[in-house]
This record gives sequence, structure tokens and C-alpha cells, in this order.
Amino acid sequence: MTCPAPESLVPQALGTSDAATTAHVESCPTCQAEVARLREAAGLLRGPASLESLRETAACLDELALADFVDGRLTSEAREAAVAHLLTCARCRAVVRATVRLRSEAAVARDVPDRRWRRWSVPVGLAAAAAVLLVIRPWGVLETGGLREPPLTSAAAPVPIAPRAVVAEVGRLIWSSVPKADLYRVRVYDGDGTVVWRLETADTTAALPAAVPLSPQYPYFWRVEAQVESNRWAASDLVEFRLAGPRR
Amino acid sequence: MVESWIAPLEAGDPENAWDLFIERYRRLVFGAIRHYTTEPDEVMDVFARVCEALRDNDFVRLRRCAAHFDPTRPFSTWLVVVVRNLTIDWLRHRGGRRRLGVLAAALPPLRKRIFEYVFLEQRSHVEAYELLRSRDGAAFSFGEFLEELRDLYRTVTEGRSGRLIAELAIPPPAAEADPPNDPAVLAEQRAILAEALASLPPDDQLAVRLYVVDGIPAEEVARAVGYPSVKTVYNHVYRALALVRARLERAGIKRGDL
Repeated sequence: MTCPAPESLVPQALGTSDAATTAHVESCPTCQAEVARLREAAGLLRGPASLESLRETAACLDELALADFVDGRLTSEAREAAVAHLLTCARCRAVVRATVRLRSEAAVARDVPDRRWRRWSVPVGLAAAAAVLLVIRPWGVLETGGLREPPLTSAAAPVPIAPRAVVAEVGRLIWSSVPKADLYRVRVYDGDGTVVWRLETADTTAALPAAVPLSPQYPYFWRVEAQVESNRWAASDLVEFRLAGPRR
Repeated sequence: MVESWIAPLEAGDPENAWDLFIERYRRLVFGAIRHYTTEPDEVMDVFARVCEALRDNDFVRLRRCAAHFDPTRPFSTWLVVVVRNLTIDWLRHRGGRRRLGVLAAALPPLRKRIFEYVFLEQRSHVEAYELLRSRDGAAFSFGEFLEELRDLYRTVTEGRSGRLIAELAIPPPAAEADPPNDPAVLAEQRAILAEALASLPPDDQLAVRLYVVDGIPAEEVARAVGYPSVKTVYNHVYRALALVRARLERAGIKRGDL
């Protein structure tokens, strides 16, 4: 029985071997012992990861440098600096690992099921509401001292309560109140991001007029904004709902 | 590869450029986001955040990338890095903070504290352990702390957004890895390992780290560090592991002793 070169046992020791090597190792005590030694050394090498932090620092590599490193395209000078940094930075290595993984998965990503994405990609409209006005609650009970950035605003946002997910009917829209807010703005969108109904009210509930056409099984979205100051609105998340029943 | 959006961007027609860009890359962007979360609301929120960030300051991110454009460079790698970073940013500083708050609030007090230190403040395991002992009066060994951390990690990385939460923390060592019970031993181990690997060129040291510690496939490691093939990765890793073993044996350290 001819044993493979010891370095070809490396993938075996780290769990990514081919079938032929695996079959050989199973029947070869010498190679089994070598694999065990390699595993032990690899385990020792991994241990000090518990001393590392994923916090980003000013020295971290920018997105172009990280992408070029992954693709093996850095100039030798730039690579020397990148390698020196990566040897000491768990955060940048985590980005490298994620990029390698995402690139292989994202390439075969399935398409988006409907045309919703278009509205979301144009920030002057709906996406701006989603991304800019979205009000972040403070950490509150968490009291974390080490966060790099303060919350965007301390104002609370209303929370859509109903409808959510699949519902038998949409008689009323209900949301949580926000302290000191005396006006709420509600919008219902269809799957294309077109506003199908809007309303301003001081209440935390609103009846959806029967004249608003909602088709069963089609996705709709709604969000509510609370006026927290004269010219400032705190927006809820966008919530999806569908009407139950056969598609018309 | 032709990037049709670059010409209109440079010709002062950014909206047209944006339409072309998003039409071409939305699948990739969504695919990358869905790797981290499959919650529909979150996917759309993160997508909106990515679009907003790419359009910010008159499309400065896209302009910077376009300025470095090279038809032989896979543009998608850069985009994937951007989407990954923006997704984590969304989780830590924007809409995702609520999810983290809810997750933390549902945890028992000790785990909640560990979650704050390790996931939210992104401290190392050892740092979190020392803080728990000094600041929070926790009285347990490092081994017991790692056990708690393993359970916590498992709990918070389950579910549809699990991979997203997992990006916030270095995974705890597996119980089978038999990690040392004293953080001081880890620091000593790190110094000995650094000394053992010091004879290797930095490229080789990094290749070993990426392959052995970070679990990056050998093909990708070879591409990144410029090795001709995966065999070179295996050769260097083998040599490095032999050095580590010899040096630790000389120091009288074996895994079972730690």
C-alpha cells in the first residue's frame, strides 16, 4: 500500500478531502496518525482566535483593496501592506471569508419574484422612506458603552400591528401610538410600490375604504409615520400583508 | 466585461447609469442579502439601504469604483464586499438594531451580557470574559464561559437571520477543540505560535491562517495570495503545522495540557 505524500493529508485533516484519500486513510494506521497530528496542530492554531475582535479600525482595508485581494489582483506593494494588515485583523479576514462565500452563492442567486425591487431602488420615493426616515430605537435596556455611533434619533417609531402576513380581510389598519405624536400618515402600497391608499389621521387606527381594490394573494405593503416634531416624521418598518382567498 | 452603466455615469447622466446598474446587478445584490436573511421585510429594508448608500453623495461609491474599472476585473467581487458591509451596517446601526434589541431582551441576564459584549460591542471572547468577571461579578471559569458562549451562539444564529447575526462575532471554539481553561495560556500560546511561524514569509503565514483558522477553501486562498495551485497551499500548511507542532512540543504544550 502506497501512502500519499504527507502534505496531501492536509485537506483530510481539515475535513475537505477526496474519496480516494479518505478510503486510504481509513485503512492505513500510519496516515491516520499523521492526520491526527495535523488536526491537533490545526486546533492549536485556531485557539487564539478567542483573543481577536471583529471591531473595525482606521487601519482596516477599504472595499476595493479587499476585493482586489480576494481576486489576487493587488500590486505586490499593495499586497504586502494588505497581507501585513490581514495577519493582525480578524475583521478584514472575516470580510475576505464572507466575500469568497457570497461570491460563489450570489452568482447563482435566484431572481426577485416580482417588480417590487424597482421602487425600493429609487430613494426619492419609497426607498427613501424605507432607508432614510426609518427611525432607529436607542439600545435602551442594552446600555452598551462601546458602540461606535449614537442612534440616529431618539424618537420612537410607530409599529404596524394589523394587518400583517396573510389575513382574511382588511377592515382596519392598526398601529401603536407614539408619545407626543398628534398626526399619523398611513400609506398602503401594491407590489410595484405604487401607493394605493393614503391617509392622515390623529388616531392610531384607520378604516380601509371598500373602494380600495385589494386582490387576494398579491403582496401589499403598508407603513405608518408619526409626526414627532413640526417637520419630522418617524416611520415604521414596511409591513407586508396578503389577502387570503383564491387569486382573481 | 462591458459595464454599460459607467459611460452614462461619467457623461453626467447618473439616473440612467443607476437604472442600468441596478438592472444588471440586482440579482447579485439580492442574492448576497438573502445569504444573510430570508425575512422578506429585512431583505427589502437592506436592499433599500444598499441602494441608498450606492447613490449617496452623487454616487460617489460607484464613481470611485468606476475610476478603478478594469474590464478584466470581476466587478461583482467589489459589489459583494460592499453589500456585505452595508448589510452588517444595517444590522448594527440601522433597521436591524431593533432585531438585536429584541434578541437581547429575550435572553437570560448572563447570556444577555455576553451577547452585548461579544455580538454588539464585538469584543474578543477573552475580553468579554474578563469584563464579565470584573464589571459584572460573574464567577466562572473561562471554559464555563465558552460553554455559555457556544449555547448563546447556537441560539442567536438559528432562524432566518441567523447568518447575519453570526457575522457579528468570532465563532466560539468547538468543545472538542478542548480550549484552555485559562485565558493567560491562550496569550502564551499565541506568542509561541507567532514565534513558530515567524520563519515563514508573511504570504505563507496568511495562507495558513486563511485556510486553517478561517476555513477559506484552498482554491480561494491560492488565488488571493498568488500561489500557482492548491497544492502549494497544502504544502505550506503542512510545513506550518509541522513547525507549530515542533515548537509547541519544545515548549511542552499539547492540546490536552492546555
